[in-house]
Amino acid sequence: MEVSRKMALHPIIFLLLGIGSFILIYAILALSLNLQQGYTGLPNFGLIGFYGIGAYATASIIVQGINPIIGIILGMLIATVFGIAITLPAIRIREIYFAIITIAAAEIIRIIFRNEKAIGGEYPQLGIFNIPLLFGLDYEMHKIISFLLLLLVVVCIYLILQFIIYSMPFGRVLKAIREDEDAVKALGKDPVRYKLIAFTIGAIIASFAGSMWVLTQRGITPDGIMPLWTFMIWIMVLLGGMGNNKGVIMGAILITGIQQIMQELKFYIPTEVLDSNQIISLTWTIIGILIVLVIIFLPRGVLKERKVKGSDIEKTIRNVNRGIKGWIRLLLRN
Amino acid sequence: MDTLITKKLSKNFGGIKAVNEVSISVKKKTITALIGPNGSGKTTLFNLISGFYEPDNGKVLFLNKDITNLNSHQIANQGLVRTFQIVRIFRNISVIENMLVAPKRDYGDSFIKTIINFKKSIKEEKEAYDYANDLLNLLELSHLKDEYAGNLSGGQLKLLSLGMALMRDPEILLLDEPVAGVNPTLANKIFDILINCRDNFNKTFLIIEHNMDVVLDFSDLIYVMNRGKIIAEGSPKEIFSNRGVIDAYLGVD
Amino acid sequence: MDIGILITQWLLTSIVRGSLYALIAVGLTLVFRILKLANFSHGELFVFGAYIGIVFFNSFWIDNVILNAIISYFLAFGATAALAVFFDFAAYKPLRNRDANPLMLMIASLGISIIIRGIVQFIWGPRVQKYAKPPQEIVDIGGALIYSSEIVVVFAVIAIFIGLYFLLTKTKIGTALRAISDSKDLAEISGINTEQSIIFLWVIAGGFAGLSGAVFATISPAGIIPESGFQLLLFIFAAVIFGSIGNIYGAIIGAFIIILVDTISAGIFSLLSISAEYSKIIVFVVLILVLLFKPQGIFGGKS
Repeated sequence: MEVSRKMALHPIIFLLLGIGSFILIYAILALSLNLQQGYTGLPNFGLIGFYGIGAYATASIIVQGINPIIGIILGMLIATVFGIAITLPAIRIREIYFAIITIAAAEIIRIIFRNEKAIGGEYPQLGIFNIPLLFGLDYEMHKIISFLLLLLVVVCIYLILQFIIYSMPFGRVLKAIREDEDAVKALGKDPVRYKLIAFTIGAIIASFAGSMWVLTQRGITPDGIMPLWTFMIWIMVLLGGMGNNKGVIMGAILITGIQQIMQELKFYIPTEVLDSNQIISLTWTIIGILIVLVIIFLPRGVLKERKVKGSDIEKTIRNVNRGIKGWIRLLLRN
Repeated sequence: MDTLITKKLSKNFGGIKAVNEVSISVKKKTITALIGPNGSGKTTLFNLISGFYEPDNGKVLFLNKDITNLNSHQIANQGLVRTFQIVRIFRNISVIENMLVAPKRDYGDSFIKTIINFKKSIKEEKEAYDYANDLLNLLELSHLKDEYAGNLSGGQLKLLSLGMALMRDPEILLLDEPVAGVNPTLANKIFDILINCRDNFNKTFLIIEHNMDVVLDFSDLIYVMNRGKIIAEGSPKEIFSNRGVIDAYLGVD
Repeated sequence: MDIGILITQWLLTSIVRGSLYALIAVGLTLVFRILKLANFSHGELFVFGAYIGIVFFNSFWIDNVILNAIISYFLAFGATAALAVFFDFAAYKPLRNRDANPLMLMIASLGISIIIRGIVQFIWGPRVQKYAKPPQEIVDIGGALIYSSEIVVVFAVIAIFIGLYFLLTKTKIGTALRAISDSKDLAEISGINTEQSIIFLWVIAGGFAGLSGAVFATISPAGIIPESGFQLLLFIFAAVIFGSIGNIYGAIIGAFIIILVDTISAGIFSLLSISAEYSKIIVFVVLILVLLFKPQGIFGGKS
């Protein structure tokens, strides 16, 4: 690392890059949950488990000196297997039971990671910590590149999901399944296949979020995959509006924003009035109250789902046939 | 060859014989009506034929193929499409999208195939879009094409669900009370459309109906059901003068 | 170590733990059935009661330990019951009035669990709370060890359940509750005041959970931490679903069976030098399997 650099990062920029990275990773998870619940109607309350699979797969691979990309792919493969394993038998059961199954499954994963040295490192209860900086950069550059990389990832995932939902017939059937499964069956389509694919794609995305966390935050702990975090993503999706990808990203920004602001407050409020534990507790209480308020008054979320009109369909058809310019127009529509 | 045949189809619900050895046959290019008092088992019969219920006994033959044990979506895929007594459409998406969910697609139905052959999938979409617009014109719903389906009136919903069924270009349509709660003018219009489909597009219909005027005016053949059994079968004239039918309606209703 | 003693120990521990879990499970099974609410804040009710109980107990306002304990338990019961009723008015009732589906109710309960946990942690901090005085009298039964207070607890719980039985079968409000449990609409038409019965329901469910928490916190040497709530939540759900939702006997039996499974697995795993925490996995697997293949539970009631 160079001793003197002209471009030393101002501490505020540093702070913002850190917060920004958190927001982006939560955004990836929120997008993943939105696909599973908002669009397909499968309430995954064990989302953090898939994230954990990606994180621990990547971390374990990296500490063995192997290329992290293998870890990322491994994570996605295992997440796929788990995704199918959970949905296939559970796809016909009631929402509530499905939700409980996902919570239990995620907890099983967490307990294993918390106890197995083979996966969780030498001190599994503490987690894995010695992940090197990205591309061998110095700390500041790592922070900057992490943020930019995450930004790129979020934009790509967002565009891919928008494409699947709004430009492919697949997405339309998905929305229909969410509305009325029997009606979809009566039209000759098997909801199981669609749900399976959508859920698994969501699982893969969540796994990817975990991998990204490990690469940018350089470690993973079992406490990082507690059910509490799944619930936090849920409030982001609930707020943002089920089935609105832009909305859930805003939800991620809002909730993380609240958290970070509350955390900053501890520098301004004397400990006798509110100590840091109390600020954290207060934050969670506020989030809890938000969840309850949203579910009572805005069960479909703050933002509505985008309506696809005839003109939208015509535009899709036109633009696909217009080469690169058309595709860019299609993407920008989002 | 008859399009649809059931052979002694039966279904029990906890000791009650909802459908009791029902054998009917629907000829190609006809409008066949299924009438009977409430609770006589008509919708249950539909559910059995279309794969939503599993029969306890009996068979269902569609175009000479045994579909008795197939799933509902498999049966729909074979060309037998049914609608529901209480209309089932997709409320929170637009009317045009509702129509576009329906059709069978060689590329669009498979996630992988769509991605690999995206251009062909778009061509399929265009064809479906044009066809949907034609149907919406026929059903006089074009002005509502961008409206959320959930905002439609009862009669409009019936038209939409008919349109969605037609999008699949089915061999036979099983319509469960297609004009229930619909004003007489609209009811006549709907049946004109059905007759148009029958005569010009070779479609076959099996229709559950309560509205006797409509049934007597428009059907080629009528089956009468009561308490799970077929009690009469014949042309509108024959059924109209059949004492057993009138008794069933007056007695139970 | 003698295998006989080991098994006796496991059985004894299971009976004690099981009775406390049974107390909670009974409340949850009724709430699940009557209100269609998969109450994910039930564990936090346990924690809330635990904190109220132990904080009062440790303050030693009353010299006599037994009296001190009993008063703390009453306080815990009352405070938790009040909290439960409050949240019903604040959240579940408005949702019921809007015809919310079970998933929405569950999500609300998740929010409430976070609120309660936040409150508990805010007031009493993240660290462990335990019984401040030195260890209690230990009793030896056939080589296995148990606290004398734990024996009292088991009998007390049995007494409570007997009391509950009479409450539900001989009193007007108990009968009303059973009627609602069978069919809410029918009960309403028959003139039963469902709102009143629901308050009563929460008093029982919340009170029992809080009481269980207070007892647990004052007796267990390990004490209580804010996280305790969620950890036992899945166990309680396993017990309730296994025993058939809405079936009180099922909830009690389910609680004992689940605890037995957990204790024995943990014991076997430790003997094999495997982490004892894996016993939880066994319980969770049971939960998942029951939900997949027989969600009506062993008594096959309506779910």
